[in-house]
Amino acid sequence: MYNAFVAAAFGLAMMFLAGCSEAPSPLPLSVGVNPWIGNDPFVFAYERRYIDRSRIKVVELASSSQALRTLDNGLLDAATLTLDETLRLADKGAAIRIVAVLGISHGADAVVARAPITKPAQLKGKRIGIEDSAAGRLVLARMIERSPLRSGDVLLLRLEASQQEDALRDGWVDAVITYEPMKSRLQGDGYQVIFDSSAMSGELIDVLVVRADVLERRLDDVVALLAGWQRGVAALHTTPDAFADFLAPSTSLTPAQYRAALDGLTLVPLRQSVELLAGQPAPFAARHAALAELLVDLEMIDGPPDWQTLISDTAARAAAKRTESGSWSGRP
Amino acid sequence: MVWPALTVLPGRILAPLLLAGFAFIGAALNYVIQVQEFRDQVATDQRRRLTEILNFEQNRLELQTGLASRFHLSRIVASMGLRSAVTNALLVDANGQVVGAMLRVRLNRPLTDAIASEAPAVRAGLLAIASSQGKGIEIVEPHGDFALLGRVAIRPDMTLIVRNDLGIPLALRAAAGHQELWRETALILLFTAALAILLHVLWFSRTARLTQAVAAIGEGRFDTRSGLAGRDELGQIGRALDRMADDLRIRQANLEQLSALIDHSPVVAIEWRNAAGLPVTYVSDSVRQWGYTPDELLSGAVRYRDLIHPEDRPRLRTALVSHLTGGPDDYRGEHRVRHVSGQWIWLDGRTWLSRDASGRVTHVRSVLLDVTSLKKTEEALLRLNATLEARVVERTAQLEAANRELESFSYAISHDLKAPLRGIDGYSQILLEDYRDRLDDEGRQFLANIRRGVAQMHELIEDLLAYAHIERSVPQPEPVALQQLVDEVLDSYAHEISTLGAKIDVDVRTPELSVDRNGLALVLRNLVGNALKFSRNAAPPRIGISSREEAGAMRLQVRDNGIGFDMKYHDRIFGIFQRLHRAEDYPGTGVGLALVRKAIERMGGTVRAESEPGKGATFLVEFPL
Amino acid sequence: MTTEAVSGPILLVEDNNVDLDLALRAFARRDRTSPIEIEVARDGEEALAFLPRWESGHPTPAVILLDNKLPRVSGLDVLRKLKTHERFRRIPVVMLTSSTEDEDVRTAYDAGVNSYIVKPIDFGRFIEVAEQIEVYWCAVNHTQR
Repeated sequence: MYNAFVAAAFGLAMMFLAGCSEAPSPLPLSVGVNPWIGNDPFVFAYERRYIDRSRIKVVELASSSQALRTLDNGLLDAATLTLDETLRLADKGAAIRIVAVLGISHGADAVVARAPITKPAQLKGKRIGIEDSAAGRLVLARMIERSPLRSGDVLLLRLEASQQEDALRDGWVDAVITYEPMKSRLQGDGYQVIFDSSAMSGELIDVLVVRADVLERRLDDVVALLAGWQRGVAALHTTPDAFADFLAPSTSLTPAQYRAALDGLTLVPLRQSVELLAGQPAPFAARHAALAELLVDLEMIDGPPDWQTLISDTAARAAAKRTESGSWSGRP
Repeated sequence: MVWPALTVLPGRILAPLLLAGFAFIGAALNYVIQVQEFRDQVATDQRRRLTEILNFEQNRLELQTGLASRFHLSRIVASMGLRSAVTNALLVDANGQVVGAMLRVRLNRPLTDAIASEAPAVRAGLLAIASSQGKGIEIVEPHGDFALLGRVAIRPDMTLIVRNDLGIPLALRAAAGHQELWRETALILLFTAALAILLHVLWFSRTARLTQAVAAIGEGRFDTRSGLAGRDELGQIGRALDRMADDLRIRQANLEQLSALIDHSPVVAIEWRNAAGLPVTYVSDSVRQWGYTPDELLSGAVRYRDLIHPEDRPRLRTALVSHLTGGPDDYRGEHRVRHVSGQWIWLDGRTWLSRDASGRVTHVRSVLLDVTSLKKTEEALLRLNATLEARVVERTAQLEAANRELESFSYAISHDLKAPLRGIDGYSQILLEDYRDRLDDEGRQFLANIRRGVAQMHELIEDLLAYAHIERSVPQPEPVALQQLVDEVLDSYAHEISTLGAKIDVDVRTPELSVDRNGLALVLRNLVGNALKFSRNAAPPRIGISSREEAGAMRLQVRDNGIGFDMKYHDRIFGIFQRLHRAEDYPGTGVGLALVRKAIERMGGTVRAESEPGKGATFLVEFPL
Repeated sequence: MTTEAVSGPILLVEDNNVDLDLALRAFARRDRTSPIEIEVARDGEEALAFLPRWESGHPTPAVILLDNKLPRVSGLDVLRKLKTHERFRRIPVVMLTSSTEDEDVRTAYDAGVNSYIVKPIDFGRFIEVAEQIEVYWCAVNHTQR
């Protein structure tokens, strides 16, 4: 009888203590990237263990629209997106922050067509495959602007990035709006690029986007992620051959083709990211005000974004400091 | 030592005290055990979850391998990274090459290369499970790595391996577990207190009620009930008491009713004692309707057994014996007994056995009703029914089979014949438009011919469908204003009438008749259409539509001044696909008049025609009223 | 609160290759000034696979064109699942099919189809049907704004 009561009292005490504690979240920070080769520095850094896997998890998704949706749903903490997608997401009311500028497309986005089409004008009355993304629509809008076509002249078939190559090969569409590495693969098979983003003067730009609450609670992990990015970019500049050899096979391109594909975009090092994002107002906002206006014209967003709230340079700044004080240099 | 101490306390205080004490001890022990179990639970949970994941992904991937898109496969494997505890996912083909992974950079490499950047323990585990040869889903807990490794084969020759970390889920589970246990304990204590109060209240009030009920029944008020529910001792006592009171009440009532009942009904009641010879111990007065007196049966002068029809005797004997030995104690049966005049009477008898305390049957009692006339009618009906039913079943089966065939036939026409036509017409039009400059005049003419052929084929299919449709439709008669229907049909031909300059005379004298509206509309459309077609070259074409009531029938007439026909072809023109003219002169599929005749026949009418070549034609339709 | 800026596409559910190709050509040939967007599902299962994607944010179509005769899951089953779904039952569904059977038309309307069009054999008439559908599609997109 006595022993029973002692055990009961002990148990009660344990329960009180246990009920009061609260465990921290052990899940690693999840970052979504899409098949765009401009995200390869992240992949490189993850594989080479420049990023701590118990704290950060890089997840590859089928398309940028899937990354966008998953970020919005809360299953991802961060993602690489194009600037126009970011503005659309923010316009819907999502609480997100741009923490770094990653890359600028100079030809890596393109409209690829099958014979006998060689010029945009020949697309009149034809079918074009398009991913449901703002980047794709921008490329389309610019191509139509610079050709005798009117927007009603083409029929648009919505396809995921992974379906586009097959649809073009089987003849369901006469052209697709796509990006690297799919673009180089199709070119290698004889299809023709009839328009690309080199005619779009830096309008297609990639950024790293983090949910606002995640940035607050786990700033350290975001900084570690960006430090890893910087090491990846540095590796590309100092040992480009090794970089290409490592990453080309999984894109079904030769290392030479891969390097040629990378020529179509400029990767932005952390130092430059910090310069663009710092200050009130940040130079980034001024530089891309024109894009925001275009999106309002195309009725993709209601009004220009609140750049101040949207941009945060804290993580990039801390990461730049950390990488420059390390034993290896972050300068390209 | 302990027992006396416990019995000093009244039950209503001791019970709650004990309850509370045990609840506390139980909760504490539970906590201690649960903490141990978390780890096992997590492993089991994650194992099951991993099995589900592997099963799900196996289905998804196998669907895609059929379509042979490598890119798609790798995308599906990559998105597995969204699952929170999954740290590695790799799809390996028969040559050990990685064709799907969570990171693109691992693709198109041998497995050992692809996972080179993992920790040694993880790497070893992945390689080990990749080389296993099991069939189906395999899950192992590797040494030195707090995780689960899963493997499943993907047809035709690929393997999916997945690593599911256990550390993260365990931490989450432990945190949640503590909260849970705290809540549980609070609830247990709360409920114990409530239960104690409840028991306290129920115990006393119920005992009081029981005492009252017993007293009342003892005084002879058999309607009293204790009203105690429940399975405890009080409840059992209460129910036994209720049953006893019930029993007493019923016995008393039964006795009173039984004698009254029997005295007033044509039913004969007999009671036999279960002894040698089955002596009759009671028989109601109504037995006189059979021609015997109660005394004759009671004294044994007339034995009941002798009255039973010889054919029924063995059956009744067997039934009685089986019920005596094995029950049930209530049964029903029919048999014949002899009226004193020699006639046989059919009796519907209900029998019940009464047993004593040791289960032995003491008495057998029956009530018997004369059902002779009923019996005769029953037999006659059964014979009639059997023959009818057989015929109906046969006929229904035949009709159903015919209908089903027709339906599937129509369906085949509707879909499978029309689909290729769309293709032929579509592509020939596209050729005419897009390749115009690459064709000469002859080529363009050929394409125009093709399209014309398609249009003809289409018309033919539509007419055949209409014909088959009529065949299976059930006419729905409703009141139809004939004048209005004729006006509608003429409206639909308005364009042609004005183009041809045709003169129409309408003389409808039957205001309303009950007929299937769609069927009659179809008939009118076809007859008017024909009339216009064949009187095209008259100057001017004249068409007359009239109807009147004559000799109990409605007579409808459609007359034209066209080319007419020779009466020797009268029956032919109503046949299907029968035409009297070449298609170039007078277009048509040859189904129109066949439709008309079929529709009219289904509505219960008749149709015929009168004509002379060059002098027009008259079509006469007659419906009985 | 903003609405989805880009309007919903037309979802076309068609299994037959020839019918699909001709439908796409008919839409491409019509004479209008605004762009038209089409999404394709090749059978009933693929059509129903869109439902979870719509739930997780993929843009919903403004009009659905449904053939009745599809392998595995029939057009009628797809229609029923769409019209009893909590969120998506208001998306207009037009049955574009070859059957003229009264039974089929009645069953389709009972299941909640918004409109029933029989596919014409004549390609020129089919282009007219495509133009009408496009007018409807534009109207639906306008009301969503």
